[in-house]
Amino acid sequence: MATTEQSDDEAQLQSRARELGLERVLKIDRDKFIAALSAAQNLSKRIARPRSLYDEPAHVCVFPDRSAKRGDEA
Amino acid sequence: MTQLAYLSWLEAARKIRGRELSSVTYTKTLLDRIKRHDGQFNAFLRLQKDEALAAAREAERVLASGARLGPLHGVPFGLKDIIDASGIPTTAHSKILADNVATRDAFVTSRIKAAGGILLGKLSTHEFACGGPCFDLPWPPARNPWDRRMYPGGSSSGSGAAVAAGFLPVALGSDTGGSSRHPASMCGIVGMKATYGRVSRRGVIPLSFSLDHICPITRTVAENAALLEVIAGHDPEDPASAPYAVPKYLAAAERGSREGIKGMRIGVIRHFYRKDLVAHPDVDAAIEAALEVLAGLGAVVEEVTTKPLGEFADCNQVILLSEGYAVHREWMQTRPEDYAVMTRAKLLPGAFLSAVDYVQGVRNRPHFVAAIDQLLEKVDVLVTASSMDPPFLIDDEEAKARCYPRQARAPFNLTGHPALALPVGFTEGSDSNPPLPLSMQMVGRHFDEETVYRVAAAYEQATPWKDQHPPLDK
Repeated sequence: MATTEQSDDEAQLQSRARELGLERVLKIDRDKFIAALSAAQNLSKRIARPRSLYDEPAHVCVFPDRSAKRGDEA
Repeated sequence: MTQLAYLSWLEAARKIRGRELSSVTYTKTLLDRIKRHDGQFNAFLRLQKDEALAAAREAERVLASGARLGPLHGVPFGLKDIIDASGIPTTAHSKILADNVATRDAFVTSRIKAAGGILLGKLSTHEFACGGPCFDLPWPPARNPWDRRMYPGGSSSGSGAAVAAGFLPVALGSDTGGSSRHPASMCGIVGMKATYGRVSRRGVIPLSFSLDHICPITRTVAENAALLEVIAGHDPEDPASAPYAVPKYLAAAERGSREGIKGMRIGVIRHFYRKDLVAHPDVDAAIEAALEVLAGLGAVVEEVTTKPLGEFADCNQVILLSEGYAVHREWMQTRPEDYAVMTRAKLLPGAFLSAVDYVQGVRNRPHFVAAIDQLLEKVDVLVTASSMDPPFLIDDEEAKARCYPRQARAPFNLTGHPALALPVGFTEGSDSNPPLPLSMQMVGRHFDEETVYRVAAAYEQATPWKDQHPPLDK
């Protein structure tokens, strides 16, 4: 039974690596691959959910009013 | 020799302008010092010896003709090796970019050169400003000038080590989760992460687009303020660059030294280092002593509370890992063996986060910004810990792993507020263990670096820390 579970886990791991194009990483650094997967799953569970349906992402790119005079050029 | 090595860049520039100091002599002195000592500290990845001396001679020629380039005329500087300087490699301390020759100066490089600065070389970093210190890269990691057995902080390790060691008066670093404030804290110097958007990131290898900042690293607050004045300003080629005029930061720092901070309000976020994490007793005691100094200068010090540190850290992490992996995915797929083991391990969780995780993080971000803004409605600056621990042995794997989350710097990358790390004392030390630097952090309102510099300069003037230097010459 344990052997079947282990091979299932192994198959899942291989499949995940294949999906992500990370077969080489799994091969050279199996422990860290597993640790990273686990760290990401924990972080995903831990991060706070947005408070409201209307919470907008913090946008990085802004579209400045190009007609406005820039501070540096003032 | 030592006097020139630790000369303030403002004083050096004044003497060069007044023809009391030759830029060539100054540059040669620093190059000699680097040659003598840097074998122990590995601050430099690349030294531009001939080019720097040629530039120093040219600076003297220009000066003799009656012209003046700018405030840094004839003063040497260094760049973290993720910042482009035209014609020389930007390696990011990585095998992957070992031959990546920059074709153009980064915005900040061109600003410093235009102000008359002389590029002395490129400085050691953690690989791609992430992970580290690593011993499996083409170049060794930088070490702490206070004790070469110790970690100098990172990822701007070489910038911190070089400035503290008196190899350079100024260097630039970058800061995505604390990477300039960390070496400043570990090396007993000053590192400022200005407001997001204040300093252009164009020409700097990204780690996380929305968290990356470019930072001045110096030995004193006034030098830091004056350097920020040089590198800050709008850059139409950086989409996040803010179109605001640059204030007179040096004047703000001088005002702090001259007029003090009587009546200014300082909020202390103690729960970051006493409850959410528990700082080393030496760090806690040094911050408390610093708060007493601030109160003694007439500031009103009060405790304030905000969201738990862990919530800030998690939101910062999900964004950093997602954006970082977006930068590195192709190399992780095709050249994973070319990364250091630790860098790969640091970047890899980003592969397993979903688009939804990232968007949720970005949706939460404004709440963290609002939480810090709310505190700053009632106080002029915030004070909290920078690192929770003093410097530790560079090869202590457990301490290395522990140090990444044991800090309170990442919240301000997430919120974009200006945050400055400055020295607040030293560990006691013993015959076999020299005293090591301790630090704290000051945080201001968005685009109000002036107030941070003012308070920091007043504190610095009232304490002896800026006059302490690593024991290289003993």
